[in-house]
Amino acid sequence: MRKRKTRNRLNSIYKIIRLVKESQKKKQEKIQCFQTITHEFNLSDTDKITYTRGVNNEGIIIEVVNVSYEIKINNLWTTIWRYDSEHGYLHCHMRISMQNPSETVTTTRVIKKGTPHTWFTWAINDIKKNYIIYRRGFMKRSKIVDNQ
Amino acid sequence: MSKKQQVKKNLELSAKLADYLAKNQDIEEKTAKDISYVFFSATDQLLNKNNLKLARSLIKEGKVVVKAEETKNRSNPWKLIPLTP
Repeated sequence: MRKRKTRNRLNSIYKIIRLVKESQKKKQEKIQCFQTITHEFNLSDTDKITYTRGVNNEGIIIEVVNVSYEIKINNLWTTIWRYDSEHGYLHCHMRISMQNPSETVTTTRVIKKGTPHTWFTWAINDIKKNYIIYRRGFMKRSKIVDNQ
Repeated sequence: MSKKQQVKKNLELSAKLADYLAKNQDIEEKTAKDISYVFFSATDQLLNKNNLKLARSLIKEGKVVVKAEETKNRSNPWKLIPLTP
C-alpha cells in the first residue's frame, strides 16, 4: 500500500517535470520563430512614424511590438505616443511632456477584440486620425509653442 | 504646402504601404533592415517636391533611404527604389 502511494507520487512528479519541459520547449520554439520587422516612415523633417511587428515563420503578425509617432524637438526624436501588445493585449503609452519622460499607460479607447493583425492596423489608423491631437497635447503639456 | 498637409498626406501613404508590406512578406525579405521610407505620390507633384527635400536631408544624416513610389498599377502599387548606395 505504502509502496503504491510512493510510486503514484513519483509518477505525478515525473508528469509535472515532463509538462514543464514540454512547455519550455514550446516557448523556446516560439522565440526561435519570432522575428521583428521595423519600418520607419518619414512624414516631414520633424515627424515620423515607426511600425514594428512581431511575426512568426509564416509571416503572420503575432505581436504589435511598436506603432509609434515621433516628433523632432531640439534635434532630438521623441516618441510622444505609442502602441504595443507586449502583455497580450493592445495598450497605449503617452509621454507626459518634454520635461517629464514618464509615460501613462492605458487601454481606454483602445481596441480590445481581434487578432494582433487587427490591432496593428487599428493602431496605424488611430495615429493617422489623431496624430494632431496627440502632438498638440504633448506640446501644450511641454509648454512649447507649436508652429505646425 | 504646409507641414501639416505634408504630414497628413504622408500618413495616408504610410498606412497604405504598411498594409502592402504586411501582405507581401517576400518584398520585406528582399529589402534591408532599418530603412527610412520617403513617399512619392502617383498624383501629387507638390508633395513629391517636398518629400524629395526630405529624402535629401535624411541621406545627409546618413540614413538608408528608400523611395516608396506609388504607382497607378493595382497589382503592383508600390515601386521601392533605394536612394542610398
